[in-house]
Amino acid sequence: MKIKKIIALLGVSITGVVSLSGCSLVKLLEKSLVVNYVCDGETIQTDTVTTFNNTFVPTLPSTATVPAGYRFFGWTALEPSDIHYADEDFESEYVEGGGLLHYWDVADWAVNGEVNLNPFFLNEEEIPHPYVKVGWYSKTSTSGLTQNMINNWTVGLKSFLKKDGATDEQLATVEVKGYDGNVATMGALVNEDGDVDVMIGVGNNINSSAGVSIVEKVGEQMMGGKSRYTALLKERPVARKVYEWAQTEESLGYLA
Amino acid sequence: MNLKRKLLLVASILLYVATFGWFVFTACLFSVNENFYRLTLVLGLLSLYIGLHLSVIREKMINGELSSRDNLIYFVLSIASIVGAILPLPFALASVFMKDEIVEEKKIEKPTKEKKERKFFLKPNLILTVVGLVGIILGSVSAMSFESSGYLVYVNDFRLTKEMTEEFNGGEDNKLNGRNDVIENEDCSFSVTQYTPKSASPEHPAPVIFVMPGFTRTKATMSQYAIEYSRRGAVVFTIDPGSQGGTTYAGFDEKGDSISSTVGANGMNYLVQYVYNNVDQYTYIDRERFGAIGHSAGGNNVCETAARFAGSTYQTSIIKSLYISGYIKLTAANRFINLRCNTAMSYGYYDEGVFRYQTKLDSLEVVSLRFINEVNGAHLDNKSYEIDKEYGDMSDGSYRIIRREDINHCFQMYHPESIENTISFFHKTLNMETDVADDSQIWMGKEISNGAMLVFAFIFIFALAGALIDLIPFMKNLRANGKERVAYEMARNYISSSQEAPVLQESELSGNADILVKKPAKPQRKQKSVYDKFAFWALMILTAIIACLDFIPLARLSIALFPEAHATDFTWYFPARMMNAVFLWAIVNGTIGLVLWAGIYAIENGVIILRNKLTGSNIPVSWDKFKGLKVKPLDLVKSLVYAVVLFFIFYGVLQVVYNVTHQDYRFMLISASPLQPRMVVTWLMYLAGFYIFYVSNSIRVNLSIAYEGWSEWKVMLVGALANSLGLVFILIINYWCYFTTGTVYYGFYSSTDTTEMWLFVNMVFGLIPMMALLPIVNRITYKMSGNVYFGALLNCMIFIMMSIGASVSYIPM
Repeated sequence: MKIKKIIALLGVSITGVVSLSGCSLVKLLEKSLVVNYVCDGETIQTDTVTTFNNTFVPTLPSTATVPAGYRFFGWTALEPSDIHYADEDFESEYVEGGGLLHYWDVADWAVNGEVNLNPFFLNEEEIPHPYVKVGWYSKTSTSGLTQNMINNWTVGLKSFLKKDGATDEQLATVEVKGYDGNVATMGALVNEDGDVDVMIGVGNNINSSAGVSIVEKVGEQMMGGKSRYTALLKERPVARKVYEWAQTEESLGYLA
Repeated sequence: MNLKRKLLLVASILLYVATFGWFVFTACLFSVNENFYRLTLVLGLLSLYIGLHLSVIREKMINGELSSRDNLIYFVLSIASIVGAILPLPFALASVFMKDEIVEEKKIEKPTKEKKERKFFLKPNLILTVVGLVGIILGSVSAMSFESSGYLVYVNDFRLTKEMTEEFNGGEDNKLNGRNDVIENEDCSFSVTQYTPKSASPEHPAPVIFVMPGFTRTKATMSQYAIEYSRRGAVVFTIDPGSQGGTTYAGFDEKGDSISSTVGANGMNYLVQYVYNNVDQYTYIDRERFGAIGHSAGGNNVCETAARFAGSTYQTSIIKSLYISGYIKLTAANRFINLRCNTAMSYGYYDEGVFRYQTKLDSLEVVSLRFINEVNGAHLDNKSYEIDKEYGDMSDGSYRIIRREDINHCFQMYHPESIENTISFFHKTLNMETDVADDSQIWMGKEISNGAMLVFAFIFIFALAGALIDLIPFMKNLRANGKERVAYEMARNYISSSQEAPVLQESELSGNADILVKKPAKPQRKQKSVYDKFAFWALMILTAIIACLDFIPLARLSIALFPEAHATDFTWYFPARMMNAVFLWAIVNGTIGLVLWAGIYAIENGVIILRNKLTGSNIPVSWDKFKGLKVKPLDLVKSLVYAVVLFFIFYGVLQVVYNVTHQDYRFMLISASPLQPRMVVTWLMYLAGFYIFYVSNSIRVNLSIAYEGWSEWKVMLVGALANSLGLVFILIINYWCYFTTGTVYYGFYSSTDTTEMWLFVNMVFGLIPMMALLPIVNRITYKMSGNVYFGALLNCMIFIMMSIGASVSYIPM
């Protein structure tokens, strides 16, 4: 019985100490890396990124040389010539210039707790421009839209565009992208992309609280049992066609 | 002394500890997607099996039944225990090679004592009832003395109604910087608590600080801020947000649609304007020194209010000092530019909610930079920011400071360093005249006193339940039933009491045999096979794993099943949004528990029957566990009525105490607060569903764990662990993943379904202590009444009301 009591006492003591120490013990689990941004042979910035602290990624210094026909994308520890836009994991092969650096973005590249990042440029010809780009509000609880609905709807959209005369090459570049977060976040993400033609599943506040510039919008579009808006963001012929098709019974049928 | 047995005991205990360690390790691996967790799970079960086997051998050894086969198994298991843990091995091996000691059996006559019937006022239950009541009263007086800073602060509640806002907020004359805020619907009213220091007077007007809690929290959970500010001379107002605590629903508009439950910045807009304009009543406040603080969603609310009444300059801004705690969403960040007051922003270093803000638009780093750059309508050009650095100038409202304390989201408001930072901010920016140092804090005194009240309240109600059963003739048969059940348990679990235990313990205090004090013989426990023990523990672990893994999916399901509540629309259909998740979890796990309990018991007996038929043996089949479910209809009615009466006594005493001392029973996030009609109606909706869980738990502890033949404390301990371990493992999984990767495990529901689940995990903190307590009180009440239903009823009523009262309900009342 004595042993039981001692063990119980020990257990309670350890639990108590751990609880009272709060999160201070957690510091032991925190991981960190030193990140050096190297441009033209010189380290232009050094940051420490941790699992709980992100840092800002620098943009390219104005003095840096950009190869002709190339665009600065960000920074990478990989060999730039090995990175291609079409890569399946393209997004994880570099960190965006002017963006945010998370610990896990560069953890795999670390050597002895340090990472050296070099500028990464991409050939302009490699960067595709979508034939048409449609955004949808992917916060299901607000928009009523789900990924399944959008998958079916995209098939319908491509079928419509094909009938309208789009080539297979053009159809291959059609992009339907979800934008999540609250209204302000969703709007900011749309603005950041800057190339969205049509938005579906948004609210009446797309051009107010969300802060997205639009050409026009139409309401009372029943999507996932909710009355939502569709908005035209770019005045391009193909964009308008998609905007008008999005209001048809066929289109709304996919989203019901 | 039997060293061999003791070594075995140590070995088996260490294996149980190793079992727990393996399971914790499994949860950690699972949380970071390491597939090795399957292996560690098996190792955990293996450790448990070996531990149980060693303890069975030890029991056999006590009875002197160890055969050569047992010895062989024993040796093999000792070697095998290396997979369970390294530590038990030496103990186990040492005991293998040690020669058995022969213990001389002695039979000593048990001294018999004739029990005297105690006078009724000396009965333990009555004494405990009085102790509980006195504890509640003393606790409330103590808590009140802390809340009122030694009775130097007057604390009172009032209700902010539509009529009041019409009088003081409506009309052109009452506009603040061009804004009017009048409550729209007459059903809507806000519950407010005011802290007024005696030092506040028209001659020495005091600064005012408004305090706003977050989502699913009541104003009482922010009393620590109110205590610290008011003892430094500020008049403080705390308010219950819409549909939470004592605040009613917002009502419906002319179209019949729900008015937003957060209308008027959760009531803060109404309150600030009312206090500012009510010059006849509030003669003792300084209208040039208004401050506001909110945590989580409350942080957003106070930011909205400050921006709404900001005017164009610091001089015109109604709120002069603003503290935004635990909220960095863009909805707040987009208002930074409109603020005209000194402002602080704080976000816990370990705030779990940060997983949602990881882009260059909404991350903490980006919002922090905006915070110091978007000041008084201007865009400054700071390229970086520093934590704890003071930016700007207090005299023109451009002062900014960012804090990051080492704490998570839900405990930030109870974190002394975080509270000190807020005190320091208001001290400076509101020019509070006080000699009290910023790091001097007394609010813990109230928290501990309220916590003691909570403990005493439970002692009071359960002791009272026992005392009344003894006193009221009509109820006495319940007590008789209880005694009968306990006697039955003893007879079932132990070898006949006429048979003396083989070894009698003697006091080791004296070596003189003549004056040895002899303890009465312990009845000998019936021996369980390894299979019985392992089946019991495996079932325990299985139900804990199920309870752990199904919580989040069921929380997600609750969103689909109760869409109105989730969308914060007012509804009569299960309106307690966050409780709905626990509700489903309770129904599912309660049902699973019942099915497994009955199913396994039936299967066990089925196997025996089959074996008897096939082999011609005559192993007795017992259905006694099912018999424990039986109760006379009249006793059931008595139990129900009695539980209802006790529930209202529990809350009646609370109401009286609250009316006199303004205290409720609480410890941090766990509380019993005075009944509100809207909460009572909500409570009625949930009782039946939750009862499945409570009765299932009562059956488990009284008709399963108690049948293991353990001492009472062990029954209660195992019951408490069994009921809470599943939830503990949710926290282990979530926070191990968080602390090692920076992202919580239960953030979004999945990669394709971005429904936020992290707030549901926050609820688990408050649930665990209640879940641990539940089997203990279920056991106590079972021994009182002899049936599994009475305790489940009483506990269900009290615990569910506690949970609902501390959460949000979108019921249209």
